[in-house]
This record gives sequence, C-alpha cells and structure tokens, in this order.
Amino acid sequence: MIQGADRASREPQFMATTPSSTPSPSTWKEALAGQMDSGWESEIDDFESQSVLRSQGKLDEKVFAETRLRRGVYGQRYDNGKRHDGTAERPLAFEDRPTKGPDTLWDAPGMQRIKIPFGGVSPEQLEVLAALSEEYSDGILHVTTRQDFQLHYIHIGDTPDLMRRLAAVDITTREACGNSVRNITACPLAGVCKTEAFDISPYAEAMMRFLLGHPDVQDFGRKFKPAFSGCEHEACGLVQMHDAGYVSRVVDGKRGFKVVVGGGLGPVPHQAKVLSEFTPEEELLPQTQAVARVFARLGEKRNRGRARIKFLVAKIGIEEFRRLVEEERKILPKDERWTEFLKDMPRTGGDAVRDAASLVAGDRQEGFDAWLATNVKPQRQEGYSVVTLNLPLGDITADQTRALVDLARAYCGDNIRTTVEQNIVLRFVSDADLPEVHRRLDAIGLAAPGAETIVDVTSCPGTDTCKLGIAASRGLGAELRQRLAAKSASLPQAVTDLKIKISGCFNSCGQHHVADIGFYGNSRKIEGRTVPHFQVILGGQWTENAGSYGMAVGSVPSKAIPQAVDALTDAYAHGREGAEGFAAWVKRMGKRNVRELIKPFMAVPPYAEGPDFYADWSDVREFTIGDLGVGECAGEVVSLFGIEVVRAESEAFDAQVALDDGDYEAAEDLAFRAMLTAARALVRTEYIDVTEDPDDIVSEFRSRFFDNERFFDRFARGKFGQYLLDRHADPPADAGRDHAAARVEEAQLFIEAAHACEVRVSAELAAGGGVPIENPADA
Amino acid sequence: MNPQRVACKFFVEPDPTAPVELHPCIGLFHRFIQEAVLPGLLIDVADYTHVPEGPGVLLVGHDVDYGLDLGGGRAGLLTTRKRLDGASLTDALRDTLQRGLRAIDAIESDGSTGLCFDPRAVVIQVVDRLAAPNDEGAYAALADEVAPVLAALYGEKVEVARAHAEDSRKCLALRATGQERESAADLANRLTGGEGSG
Repeated sequence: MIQGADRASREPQFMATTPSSTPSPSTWKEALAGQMDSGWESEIDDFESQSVLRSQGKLDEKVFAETRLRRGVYGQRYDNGKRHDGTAERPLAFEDRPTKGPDTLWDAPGMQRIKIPFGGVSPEQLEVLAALSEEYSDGILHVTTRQDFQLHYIHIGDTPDLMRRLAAVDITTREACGNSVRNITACPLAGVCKTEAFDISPYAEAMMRFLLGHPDVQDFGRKFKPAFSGCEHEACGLVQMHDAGYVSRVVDGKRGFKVVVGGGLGPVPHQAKVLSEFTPEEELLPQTQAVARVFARLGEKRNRGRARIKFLVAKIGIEEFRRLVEEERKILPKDERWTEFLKDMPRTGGDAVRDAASLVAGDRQEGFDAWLATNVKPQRQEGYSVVTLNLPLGDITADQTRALVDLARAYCGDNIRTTVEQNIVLRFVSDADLPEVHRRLDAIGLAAPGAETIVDVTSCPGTDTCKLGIAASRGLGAELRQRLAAKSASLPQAVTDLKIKISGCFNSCGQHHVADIGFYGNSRKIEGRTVPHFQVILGGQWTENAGSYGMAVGSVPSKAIPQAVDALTDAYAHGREGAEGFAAWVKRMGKRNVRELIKPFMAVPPYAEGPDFYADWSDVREFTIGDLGVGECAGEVVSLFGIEVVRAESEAFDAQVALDDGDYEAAEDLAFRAMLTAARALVRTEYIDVTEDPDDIVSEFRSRFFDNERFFDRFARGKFGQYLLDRHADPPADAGRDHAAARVEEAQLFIEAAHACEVRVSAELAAGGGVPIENPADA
Repeated sequence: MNPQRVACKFFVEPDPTAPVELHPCIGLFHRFIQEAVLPGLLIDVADYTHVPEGPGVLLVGHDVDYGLDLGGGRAGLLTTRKRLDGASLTDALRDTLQRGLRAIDAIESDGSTGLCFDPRAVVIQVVDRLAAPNDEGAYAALADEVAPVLAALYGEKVEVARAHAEDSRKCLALRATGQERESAADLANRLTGGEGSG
C-alpha cells in the first residue's frame, strides 16, 4: 500500500491522547555527527563558526558574503531593508546587527540553493528536502532551470543545520553559487534514451566529485556551468549554451566526448565552440582541469560583466584557447582520480522495482489519455516509460513530495530526476503501471498534462524573490499557464509543441534565448510612471542542444503579453508552410513582419484608462523598479528622452534586421549608432546642446553619467555603459557575425540601461536632488 | 519542548474543502503591510495559487508567516511562528494562536475576500522534527504541555486528538476542538496575559 498517495489517506487521522515522555532535546550537529562525509562536516562547522564571527562583527562583511555565497546561501529581494509597498518606499525594521554582506541585512530572508548533480535525486533525499522546506522555508521546493532545488525565505541562522541535514543524505550546497563550478546538469533521459550514445550520468557524477572544492576551480572571475548530453541533435543537456559541454560519442568502439566551451546565455548569449571533436573518457577530467586552469589564469577578473569563459574564448579565439588547454594538459601533475572512476563507475541510477510489462486496456481515470500523450515517453528499455511531472513553475509542496516518494518507492525506486524545464521525471515506470501511477499522481495534484508543451511555462523567480528581477516572470508564467491550459484542447498541435520561457531580467535565468517564445523583463516610463514590460524574443532553438538563439522583436507591456502570445501563435498556426517549425517561420517572416504582429499590443493606455497596466502580475502594488518610488507618481508630459530614445530603439531594430540579412558590418555600425543615440538622449536631459558628434556624445556621457556612476545599477554596475565606451575607443577592423551579434545584444542592453538610468535621474530630480538641466536660455 | 517553529491552522467555513478564490487575498495582504494591520515586521506577499493544495497566498513576516493555505485539500489560515529560540512551547503556542485569531478577525473585518473562518477547531503543528518527532511519545508530551493553553482557549471541555499520525514524516500535530461558538477576537482575548515568546 502506498502511503499518503490518495486524497482520503491524506486527511488528518485523529487518535486518542496517550501520555508518554518527552524526547531528549539535542542539536542537529550532535544528532548527525559522523553521519556525513567528514570533509563536508568540517566545512559546515567552519561555515557556522564564520557565521558566528560575522554576527559578532569580527569578520569582514565581504569575506563573509563570499563564504556564504560559495555555500549557496543567497540574498533575496528586499534584503537591503527597503521595500516599496505600493505607496512609498518603507524601511524594513530588522534588528540592527552586522550585515551578512554589503547592503544585505542579517535577518532579512534569503535563498538557499541546493545542487543536484545531473538532477539525480533519491526518495530518501526528497524526504529530507520536504522536511527542510517546512522547517526552514515556506513548504515549497522549487526546481530551477539548472536542475537545482531552491528554498526561499531562509534565515541565515538556519543554514548550517540545513546543510548538515542535506549532507547526511549526500547532498552538498558547496559551490552552488560563487565564482566556481556550479551544478553539473545533464539530460534527464540519460540512461533510458533511445538516441544517446551511452549514459552520461556516471561521468557527470564523477566530474562533480572531482571538481568539488578542487584548488584549480577556486580562482575564477565568474561562475562556470558544465552540462552533459547523450545526443547531439536533441535538446538533451543544452550544451551549446554552457560554459563547457560534453556530448557522448563512441568512436571505434571507444567511449568519449565531443567537448565544447564558451557558450552561455546572460545578457549577451554565445554559442559554445568545439574544443575537441573527441576526447576519450580517460581524458575527460584532466582536460576539464586544464580548461579550468586556463580560465582561472586568463579569464577577466576585475570586470564581472566580461568574466565568463565565453568572453575569453571570443577574445582569443577557439584555436588559441585549444592550444593553451593542450599546453596546460601536458604539464598537469598526474592524478589517480582521472581514471579511477572508470574502474568503478559511480552508481547513478537505481534498479527497476517493477517488472517490465505492456500497458493493457482496462479502467483508466479521466484525463489519462491526455496525460499519456504528453507526459509519458517510452524508454529504450522495452516495457518501461519515463513519466514527467509537470510542476507549475517548478513548485512542489512538502506533502506532495512525500506522497511522490511513496509512489516512487513502489513504482520506480531511485530513478528520479529533476529537469531544466523545472519538472521531475520518474524513470523505469513499468508500462502496465501507468494507469495506477496516473491515478496516484492525480490524487496529489501532480498529474497535470502538457509536460514540455506550451502550457509548461518555464520561469525564473523574477521579482518574487530575486534581487535582480525587473518584472514578475512567475506572475506572467502563472497567468500564461492558466490561460493556455484552459484552451489546450483546442490548440493546434504545432502550437502545443511550442515552448515559452520567461526571465525576470536580461540575465536569462529563465533561458528565454532558447525558447520558441521567450520573454525578459524590463520597464518603460509612461507619463511619469513606470510600466512593467517584457522584451519578446522569438525563434530560439531548443533542439540541437540549444543550437541557436532567438531574436528580440520588441517590448510589450506585461499585461498585454497574453494577447501578444495569442497573436503570435494564431499567425504561426495559420501561416506556417507544411511542417515548418516556429523558428523557421519566424526567420521566413522576418523581424519586421513579426514585429508588426505584436505592435498592436505595445501601446500603454494612460493611467486613468488602464491602471492595471501600471501594476505587475500577481502584485497589486503600483509598479516600481529597484527601490525607486519617490516622485514616480508625479504626472509628467512625455519627456524629451522618451521621444529621442525611440530613435535608438528603431536603430537597434534595424541592426537586428541587418544581422539577420547577413550584413554584419551594417549591423555592427547600426548597433553602435543605437547606443550613441540612447546616450545622447540621456545627455540631453541635462545638456540640451550636445552635438551629434560621437566624440562629444561619448565624452558627455562619460563625464555626466558614467564616471560618477549615475549610469550604474546596483547589480550590473557599469557593464552596459562600458559597451559604448569600449566600442567607441576600439572600433572593429572587420565585423564578423559574432562581433555583430554581440554588438546588437549590447545595444539592446545599453538602451534598457538608459531607460533605467533616466527613471532614476527623474526620481532624483523629483526628490529635489540630481543635476538641473542646463538650459541655454537661462545662461 | 522548545521547538523552533509552531504553526496553527483555522479552517474556512462553511466547507473548507470547497474551492476558494484566493486572488483577492494578494491585495488584502499587501494592504496589511501598507497599513501595518498585524503586529510585527511584515515583509512581502508570495503567490502560490498555482500550486495544487499548496501554501496559497502567503504573507511573509520576520517572526510570523500568515498563509491562506490549501494544504491537505482544506483551506484555512495557517499561522507559522518562526525562530522561537528557546521560548517555551506554551508561550509560543499562545502567541501563535493569538496572532492567528487576530489575523482571522482582520480578514473577516476587511470583508474584501469574502472568507469566513470557524475558530472552534484548530490544527496545531510543531514544525521541528528534532525537538518533536512525530511519534506517540512526543505527541503525549505535546498534548500534556499544551493542555493549559487549549483549556484557556476553548475551556475544559476541549477535545484533543492527534493529527498526522498516519505518516511519521509529517510534523507532530494535534487537533483541538471547542464546544462553544465564539468570535476570533474573543478567543484571542482569552489568551491575553500569557505572552512571553515575543
């Protein structure tokens, strides 16, 4: 009998009171002493000691911030002690104690990221995770787009015990953040996939063990995200968008990997380049170690915006990077661990707990067929299937998790994986058990159909909890999911097959670049008020390991996004030719025509006519960005900046068209001009007579907005402003595709930053500060 | 028993298993923050209405969370007192119940959500598996320790029964049921005088 797997059995059961004795109190440190890897235990003890020192003000806040981040202990929105409550910015009156990092209050809730290598998680581990979510968080386990779990609203004081309880079931949070090797992701179908060369899971596990805490991965300028794929042409591990990617290959009967490096999303996405067409399995770890050493030695350290390995590879070229890695490999001191794992391959999957058997006709619960069509995939192993749990926005409750554990123990054992689409999959489910598995999942609210379809929207946390979020990606995701699910039965198959991915800002945690329809949050100032928007990115490629990225076509107010999605999907369904995919349709249509489809939804009504546009999804507060708020509600006519920046957006759009047409030189030049135009629009808010000479614009921009850091935001700092300065100082001699594509992305981000800067400057002026406009008439 | 977290849940009426429209609660909780309707530091509102039988809409505070919660398929106000750090269970429970009842009073008085609660029954959870594992012995100790608080709340005729006994992985819990119908505000006042957990 599976416990707790149906509604009736989850109702509280009441029993008579029976006196007994109280259990002895203890601490988790005492209770779990010796029950975890001794190294991990010692590290957690150290972290706890450092927490105490910092809480007493005896450890530098920056040092402690680095320490906690390397243990996956993040800050969370409003942890600077300020929050706009919809009427005004208010202080959050936490106790006056030493901070846990610059501008990060000790008592403010934070987020704990928990690494799940290759997404593999056992029933025992899930039980602990469920308990932790209740005892330290809000009862929700959140699956991320990199197969991690995250717990939100965590207090820093709870984190050492939380880590101990995880370590006792072989989970570490070490290097879940910080400038090191992050979670190693992998295809959730590894080992059961029909098209893979071989199961990459043990290799991902071995790499995780090898690199965790390795001295050669402690001195990066930025994070490093590896991924493994079993297949070249499926979405699989999405290696093309990773810092390092490994695709399994068998050559002459020998196992190895195609290795790629220098991919990444973020504000400026890069496709990874091939480092090696075939790296034998025994060279997997040493080659990666050599890559890490080259990255640590030559990667940017001072400018975080240019510190990912993708910038290094782009800067020196893949040939030179390859040569450096080969040179480094030659001088690496031998390490037995490079090949030790091959003799005793890590055990990364459990045994099937039920015999393989065919699905037979019989009683099936309502909804089974729809669920079977979208949530069940046949495995390579005949008679078994992979069942996908379509988690809404990656969320699962503690109760659901425990019921899922019971179900897993009965039907699939340890064969559970998280996915980058924020779902959970159960592998090795006997086909004959599918009706019963569906019934039990339905009883706990986990049988929603539509997994990996347009309904299964992916979203980063956005403004719900992330300090960097600009718009409510989860709010939009929930709204789209609900609307699309309601009409899913009537959607054409071609539309059903699309993917929607949403990021709350340009940093791409929602992986919007590789969706058919992607969004990232931004904002626009309308009549003196800030309005949440999403930039629309169309035609990204999920298959071919995230083989190409989508293009930005325009920014739409958040509240009009559902209508924009309808317009796009309708046009695609009716306009596609034969079996034409969405990306191909977008390409054939061209950016100009696609933009026309969303144009009707880009307008924002005046506040009096549409106040709803001025608040975000799932949030009734009038929208603000960051900690702004002062003076935002003052009515204004459309500003000079508002008029002039439109020209910059138009130039950026033309740059994208030129890029699409293969005219890279024009694209690069137009993108630069777009930045100049936006910079000039900003300068003219203070100095109306600035000329159109690029030297004058850049000089004024630098002195008025960059050198004094007024253009900087709290997180990106001056990164986007530097794009303009760098390009102006060092024009490319020969603009190839990569340069042009990067410049187009940079222009988009520069314009967004100019918008944000103008909002800040306006607020300063409204508050009585800031720099007055130099009007020649007053001179 | 000195747990880190204690929670209590009062259920909506007339039928806690009927579907509940929770979206109005988002606006309500934001207003609670703006107008400091409830005591203590209130931080933000989390929307989990997309999660089946999930936390619903959560008003996150520094010491206390208030959730219009759908857990177990039964809608109610879940009040979770956090980081008790040495407070006695009775003090913590008295404080948690009081806060929960006052929040119910505030929600009902506001009226915008249309939600009503039946304060005659409450499920109490000790959310600390180290201090209070979900077993017979801990339950007996819990029932014994909280008896005075429950008597103060519902009188000597209060019925107490173990909850969550079917699954030892869940938090230790009990259900207390009173006989008389009284308002949430009146019940909260009955507990006045025992605050001490801060």
